Parts: sequence; C-alpha cells; structure tokens
Amino acid sequence: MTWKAIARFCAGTKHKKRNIGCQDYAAWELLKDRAIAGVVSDGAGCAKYAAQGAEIAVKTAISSIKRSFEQLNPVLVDTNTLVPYCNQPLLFVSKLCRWFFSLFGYKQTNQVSFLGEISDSQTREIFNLALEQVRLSLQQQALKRQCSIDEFACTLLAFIATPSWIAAMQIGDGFIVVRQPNNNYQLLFQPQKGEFINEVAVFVTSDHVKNEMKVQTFPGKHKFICVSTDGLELVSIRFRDFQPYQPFFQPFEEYMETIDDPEQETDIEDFLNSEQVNRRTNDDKTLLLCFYDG
Amino acid sequence: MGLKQVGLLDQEQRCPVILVLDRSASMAWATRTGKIPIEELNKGLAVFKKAVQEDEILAMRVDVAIVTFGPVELCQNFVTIDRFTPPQLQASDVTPMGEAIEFAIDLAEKQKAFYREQVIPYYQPLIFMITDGQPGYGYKEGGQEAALEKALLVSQRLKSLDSGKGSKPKLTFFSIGVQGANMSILRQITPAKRPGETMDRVQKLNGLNFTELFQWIAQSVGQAARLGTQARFTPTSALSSNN
Repeated sequence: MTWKAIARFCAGTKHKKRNIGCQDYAAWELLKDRAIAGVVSDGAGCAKYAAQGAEIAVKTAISSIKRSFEQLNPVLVDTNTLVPYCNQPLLFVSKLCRWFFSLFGYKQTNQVSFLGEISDSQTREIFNLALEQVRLSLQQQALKRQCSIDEFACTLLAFIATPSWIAAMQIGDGFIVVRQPNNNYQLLFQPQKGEFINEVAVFVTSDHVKNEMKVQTFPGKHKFICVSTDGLELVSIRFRDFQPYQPFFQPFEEYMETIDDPEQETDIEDFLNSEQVNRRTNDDKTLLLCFYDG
Repeated sequence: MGLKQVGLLDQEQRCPVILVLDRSASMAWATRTGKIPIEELNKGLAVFKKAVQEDEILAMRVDVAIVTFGPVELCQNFVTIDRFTPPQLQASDVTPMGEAIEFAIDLAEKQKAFYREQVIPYYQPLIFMITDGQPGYGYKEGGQEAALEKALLVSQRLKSLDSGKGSKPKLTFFSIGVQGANMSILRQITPAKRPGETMDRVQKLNGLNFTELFQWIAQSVGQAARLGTQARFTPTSALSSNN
C-alpha cells in the first residue's frame, strides 16, 4: 500500500537538431509516513545554463522539501478513520470502542503514523523555504561562473502528497494534474504564461517570484498525480477552459496501476520520444507520474 | 501496451505573418537584366505559398496578411495558407512607408486581440517589409522630408515593440531592400537585431532573386512558428546585410 512513481525527461527535436541536451529535469522521492514529493523544472530557452539551472533547482528543492517535511510532526491515527467522523457515525462509535478497549491493554494493529492534516501556512512555509534554497544554490552557481542568476532561469513545480492531501506549488508554466477516486482529472494551477505561446511569465530567478509563486493545499486522497513542463501542455490541457484532456491522462493512470515498478520500465521515455509526440511538439518533454496503490 | 492509446489533444496555435509590400511606381521599372521587380515579387508570393504548404507544421499555424503601399491598403487580411491566393500586384503610386508600417503594426495588434478573444494561443507576429525605394509622397513640395519624418516617427514605436525595451518583444520586423532601395534610410527605420541574434534586420536582396527571398521568409516563419521568441534567423545567399 504505497506510492508508485516514475520521472522521465527527454530532449525535444529542436534541441536534438542543435545538439543541445534536455533542459527539463524531474525527480521524486518517498517520504516518511506514506508521503511522496516530486519536483519538475524546465530551464528557460534563453538562459545560458538552462539545463544546469533545472537540475540544480529540482535537486535542491526536493531535498529542502524532504527536510521540512521530516520536521513536521505526524499524528498517530487509525487507518480506518481517515474519513471525517461526521459522515461516518459508525466509525466514530467503533473508534470509541477501540479506544475503550485499548485502556485495558488491547493493542490496535492497524494504527500507523500518519500526517493527517497540513495547514496552508505550513505548506507555504515549506515551499517558501524550498524556493529560497533553490535561489541560493543558483546564485552560488552564478557567482562561480561569474554570470547573472538569470542564466539559470527555470520554472519550478513541486508537490508533497499523502494519502489524505496534496500540497503543491508552481512557478512558471507547465502543469500538475491530479485525480481523486470517482472524480475527473483536475489541473491544480493555470500555467503562468506571457503573451506568446512559448513565453513564460515568471521564473524562479525573477525578482518578485515569491509573490508570483502559486501555493495551495488540496484535501482528499489523490490516487494519480502527473507533473509536466510546457512541452506537453498543448496536447493535454484544453486552453479554452484549462481542462485536462482525459484521453491523455487516463492511459497513464491505467499504466501506473498495472505496472509494479514503473522506474524499471522504458515505456514512458518510449512514449515521450515517439513519432506521434514529436510530430506535435519540438520542445523538451517531461512526465512525472505517481499512483497511490491503496 | 496501453500507452499507444494516449490521446493527444488537437489545439490550434497561430503564427501571424504580415508582408508589407512596396508597389510604388518604380517597382515597374525594368532592371538592366530586363526583369521587372513587381512581376518577380508576384512570382515570389506564389513561391511563398508553396514553401509554407510544404512545411506541415507551418501550414497549420500560419496566418498571412498583405499590406501594400502606396497608397496603403490591406491587400489581404489574415488567412490560413490554404485559403491564401497570391495576389497579382500592380505598381502604382508613391511610397508612404511610415504609414504602411504603422498600418501593419496596428493590424498585428488587432489580430492578437482576435486570438485572445478566441482563446487561441499565438506566437509573436512577424512583419517583413519589401521596398525598392525610400519614404516619399511623390513630387509635391517637401514630400520626401514629410514622408521620412513620418517613417522615423513610426520607427520609434516599431523599435520599442521589437526590442521590447522595458517589457518583452512584441513583434519581429525585417526590412528587405530591393535594387534602388535607400539602404541607409532603411537602416535608420528598422529595429536593430536583438542580443544573441546573428542576422541583421535590414537585408539587401541580391539581384531580383525573389524566389529565394520568399523561401527564406517561409523558413524564417517556420522557425518562429516552432521556437517563437527563440527563433534563429539564418542568412541566405539571396540576401546580404553589408550593402
């Protein structure tokens, strides 16, 4: 009963033609208490060290998020009582009974350490810190190479998900799409774009990035999470109303459900490098997919 | 394997292109080789259509419009390339270059407003001006000076839109000088290349090689319709920048 995840990023045809590598980067990590963190970044095409920027941003952000998360105090709860009691009066009674029996030494077997809730201010704190550390790392690199931090400009999308909530942040374009059981796919934030299709409104290196950063916590069990950069935006998100295109996401969710250890497979990069995708986009392409098996 | 069934959304994205074409009287004067510029230009427009259609992605994304001068006229409002019929231009009048550029800039703004209204993502507009002369209102008193003054005034706006000083670039503008064009005035009017660009925005057409010119335009639009602001414009043998 845990998370399955995979991160893949592939150079687009425009970069292959010019012998430039991929300027996207993505990573995920399992955290304690059945939580998972994922980060994706797209190095700005105009930045000299775009690829390095994206990689540093992802690695710094994920370790910062991990550290912050470990410091949060999880509460011990019964796995059966994650549903609000008000809707489940019987559960409340059963919980009460168990508590009563536990007073006499009966042990509960299905109790796990679990982070039940997170406040918006905690979420903001975690991501603010991650952003600060990313900017610091990029600033250090810029000093080392004696250039402006703008030469490391990149977007940043990150999330922490537990079986009962997902906290997410976004700077720039790209998308985080999630799905709760019995629900449609949901886009967490609108991509932050400039006027033109390939223009990004804000990067982690921008001056007022802290005000521009989007942060939010979404309660509920999210079984499926997909994070990506702008390379796949046009084929997966309907711009007219910013609705995720179900025929795009559903096969990925089904795939994640059936495959035991997706990181061992090559299917995702085969898809990203496929002719059908390259016909539609020449940009770098990234998929970070998570599926909660439980 | 399930991933073969991944559905890819089909969404429009548009790349607006405006050709600003000089059809002043001098375009009808035969050169030493006996060729007539306006006729070569007309042939070039057909080449342009063909070149764009040969590029699958470009053919899907381009909206083309034609502004002619003088007088300044919207010869062709924005159309997709399959609905574009290359016009047969006739040389006629004077060279109100400033007004033509101004018209093209406004046309681009209008088209962008239309895209926004329709929620269609779009690329930066491209404007290519082709001329064989210099700004002029004909032989009336002070016509040359007034036309130049207007062109220089418009060029202020053009340059700030192209360089994106204070904000981001809003359009890309190229001037192509045909034989007889006043290159030094074109250089005054035309925006400078942006940092990192290799190709000057003022180019001189060698001979009357409109075929290659329009192939180059199609290729440049192809860059812009794929890479947007990161498009790299590459020189062609038909054009030179040091004349």
